[in-house]
Amino acid sequence: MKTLLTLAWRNIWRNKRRTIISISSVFFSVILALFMRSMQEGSYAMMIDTSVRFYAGYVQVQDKGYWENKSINRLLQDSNELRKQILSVDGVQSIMPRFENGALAAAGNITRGAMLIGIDPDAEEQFNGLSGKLSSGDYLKNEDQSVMVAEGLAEYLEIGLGDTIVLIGQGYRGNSATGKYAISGMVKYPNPIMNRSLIYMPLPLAQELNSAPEHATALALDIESAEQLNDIKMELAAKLGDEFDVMTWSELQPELEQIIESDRGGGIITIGILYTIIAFGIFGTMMMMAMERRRECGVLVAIGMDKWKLNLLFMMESLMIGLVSVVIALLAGLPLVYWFQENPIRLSGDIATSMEVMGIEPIIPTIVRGDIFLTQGWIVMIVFLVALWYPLYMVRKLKVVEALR
Amino acid sequence: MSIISIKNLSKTYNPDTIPVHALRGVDLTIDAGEFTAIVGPSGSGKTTLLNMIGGIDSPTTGEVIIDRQNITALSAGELIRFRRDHIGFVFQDYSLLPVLTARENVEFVMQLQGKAQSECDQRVDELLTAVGLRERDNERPGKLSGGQQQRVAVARALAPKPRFVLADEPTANLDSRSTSDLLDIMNRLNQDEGITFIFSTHDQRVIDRARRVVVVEDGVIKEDTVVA
Repeated sequence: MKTLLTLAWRNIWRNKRRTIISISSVFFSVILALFMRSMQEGSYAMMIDTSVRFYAGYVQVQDKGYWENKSINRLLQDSNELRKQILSVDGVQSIMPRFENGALAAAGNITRGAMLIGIDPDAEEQFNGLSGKLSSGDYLKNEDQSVMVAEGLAEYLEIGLGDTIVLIGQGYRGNSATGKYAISGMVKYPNPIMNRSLIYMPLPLAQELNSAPEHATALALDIESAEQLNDIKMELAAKLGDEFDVMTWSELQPELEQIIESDRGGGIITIGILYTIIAFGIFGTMMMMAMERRRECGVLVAIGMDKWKLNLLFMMESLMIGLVSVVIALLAGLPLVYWFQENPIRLSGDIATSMEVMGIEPIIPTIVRGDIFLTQGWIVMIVFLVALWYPLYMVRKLKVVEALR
Repeated sequence: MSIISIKNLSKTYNPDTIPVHALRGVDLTIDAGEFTAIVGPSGSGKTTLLNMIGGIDSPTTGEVIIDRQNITALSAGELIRFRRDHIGFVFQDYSLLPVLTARENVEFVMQLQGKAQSECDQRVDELLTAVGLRERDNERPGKLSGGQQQRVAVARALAPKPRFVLADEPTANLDSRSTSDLLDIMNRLNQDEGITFIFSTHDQRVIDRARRVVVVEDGVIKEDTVVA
């Protein structure tokens, strides 16, 4: 075996120029593929993170059936016992209770439909830094009797800080939900839909308004790592039983999942095309390596080398070139991807504006993820193995007497 | 004692289209310790005969028996291992592996046989000394002259202790000096160690040294002369 390994290693350097060209082509393809995939997955991670932090949370616990029609009558009891059960699940970090309900917002003679969100200000601040959206006034405190209003809504209603807003809606179990609140803060969202509809109020105030003390529409959860998502969901569902629905961000926002999946598919097709082109190059190299050594193969079989050992020799050569290419490319790719993860490309112009409108920071970060690196490695190694078919075919068909001629 | 026995050996190429009869019913016996030259003009069938003896080509009819083993009845895999253990080959163009040193080339077949490294080392030292290249054992073939490469090829052929060595035009690419040196070495190995050599050759210098000359023409043995 040692002899074969030595022979294989020296064989690949017989034609240094060709081997270096092969390694270089694989190197640049892997770097390109790594960069593309890391950029894609980095962008998805950012989109998911934004969505999770400001909208859904990674996981939500809701009363059974709430999600189908979001009825105010399907509230869950936000009890200490329920919280204890949730926090006992490995990986759950914190709970953000939310009370969401539609309401008619009025000021003077002007009215508009609004989305009222009751929050635990401290918990939200810790999870998503909500105070960062504050454009004027003060961030909410749990005991406040006031609200924060989105700038677009305030503008429409022609109100400002210190003014009063009237909310009219339907509360829990047929109760009327009507209240008058001072505006203590204004928030600004780049997303126009959110900017013209959101009203934040402390959770106890929202519960009081809707005649539902100690209730919430959902408990949004922060978790330690996105990779634990499905495990946490399963464990929570098993622990909480049939009275509750446990939903992940992708179930709460299936459209985001679909956008990511279709974009990911496009990216994978592009990389597939790239690797296909490279595969032809590698195939050419392997073919040349085999064809120019046909006589030598004949000599080796003549002097007593089994054909399977000859096949093994070609396999070693192929895998060695592949391995050298992949290792160099991955080692060079790691700092590059890491650098762009820490220093993401910042977009400008219309693209940046449209991203900001969607509530996404206009940057393209990369992400250092082991599976992306490993996938590139496997693909290249598989390509090298597939490219082996010609040498193996040649050895199988090799007739010593013809090869020696 | 005969080590090679050939009976009614025929080889016809393209039997279904334009048949070419390379060998026609050849009978030949070669004893241990012979130094035999198979000669004849191009296309006479001498290389085909050598290939049949070496088991790298199969006959249309007939048998090649080596040490009581009918090699024409062996499977492809068995034949490869039979060649490895019983037959040494020397090719016209040396056919050494260019990426291995002289030492590594010589021990290569022993490695294929699975011999212990200590045994390989000892044998390689003996053989490289015998062919006069002990001092250049770490050189790759590209650094050696044609004559030196062919001497390494002879050492390689002898490494697995074969029953006989087949040499196809071994001096065709060598100058007079190298030819003479090579023939001296092979003659000495034959005389001192009883190694059987069978050459196919055009080279009169080889024919002059042979102790038996088999002349092949048109696929049949025309003459078979034992030189006194």
